[in-house]
Amino acid sequence: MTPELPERFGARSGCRWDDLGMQAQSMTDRKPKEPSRRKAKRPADKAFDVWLNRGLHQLFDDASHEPIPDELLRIVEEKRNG
Amino acid sequence: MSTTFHDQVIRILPKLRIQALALTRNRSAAEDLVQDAVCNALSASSSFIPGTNFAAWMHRILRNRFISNLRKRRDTTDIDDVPQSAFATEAPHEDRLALKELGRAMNRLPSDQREALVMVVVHGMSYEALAEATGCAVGTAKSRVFRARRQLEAWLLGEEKPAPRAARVTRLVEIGIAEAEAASPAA
Repeated sequence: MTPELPERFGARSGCRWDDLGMQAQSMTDRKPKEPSRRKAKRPADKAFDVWLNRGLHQLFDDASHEPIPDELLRIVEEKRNG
Repeated sequence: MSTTFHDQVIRILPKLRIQALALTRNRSAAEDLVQDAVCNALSASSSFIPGTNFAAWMHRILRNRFISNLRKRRDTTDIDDVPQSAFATEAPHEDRLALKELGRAMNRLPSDQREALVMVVVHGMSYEALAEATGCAVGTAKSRVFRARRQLEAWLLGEEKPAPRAARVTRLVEIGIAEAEAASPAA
């Protein structure tokens, strides 16, 4: 059994060099942290998102294809021509 | 000012209309907002630095105009009064009903979440572009879209509505989801 660590090293009473060695060994034995991975979407969420995307396009696509009001084009052209 | 600036304004008008519709939930208010934003942009044209992100600049002007109008008007529109004519749809009956519910649910979302979701899905914007267009961090932009999706899912799949209407709406949405899954290519 290895001698006790002196208290001047900040060791608790009864702590031995062996204890430190075992602690150090257990730290190196610890598995490396796995790289964080983004949480995968639940299949139900994926399915809803597909439906939602389609629904949003059905709601909004027509508006983006409508002609620009003449009044608005006139405002821009007036500024272009100074 | 060079002709390029005015051409860019005209080219982006359809996207501004979509953003305005997402924010105002009302077709005529959206048209007014776009016109106001365009006037602001034309007045501030000298402050735009050529070669920088025009779309982000223009989207931010529209967004700021919307916020400014809200503060002035203290809008208290009842969501149930927002005309569904704001959203056009030619879908079959069950689809129309589900879309109507989607429209109602969209109107209930906070405006920043609604705007974020529409710009990502309908415009195909990246989160980085969305962040720049709305003046927030990329993480915030992602969070808005995520929260919007999950909130809509909770409402439309019956988690936060009283029965029996909830069951009918849920069923319509589930049918739609099944059809969308069948139609979409495998991931």
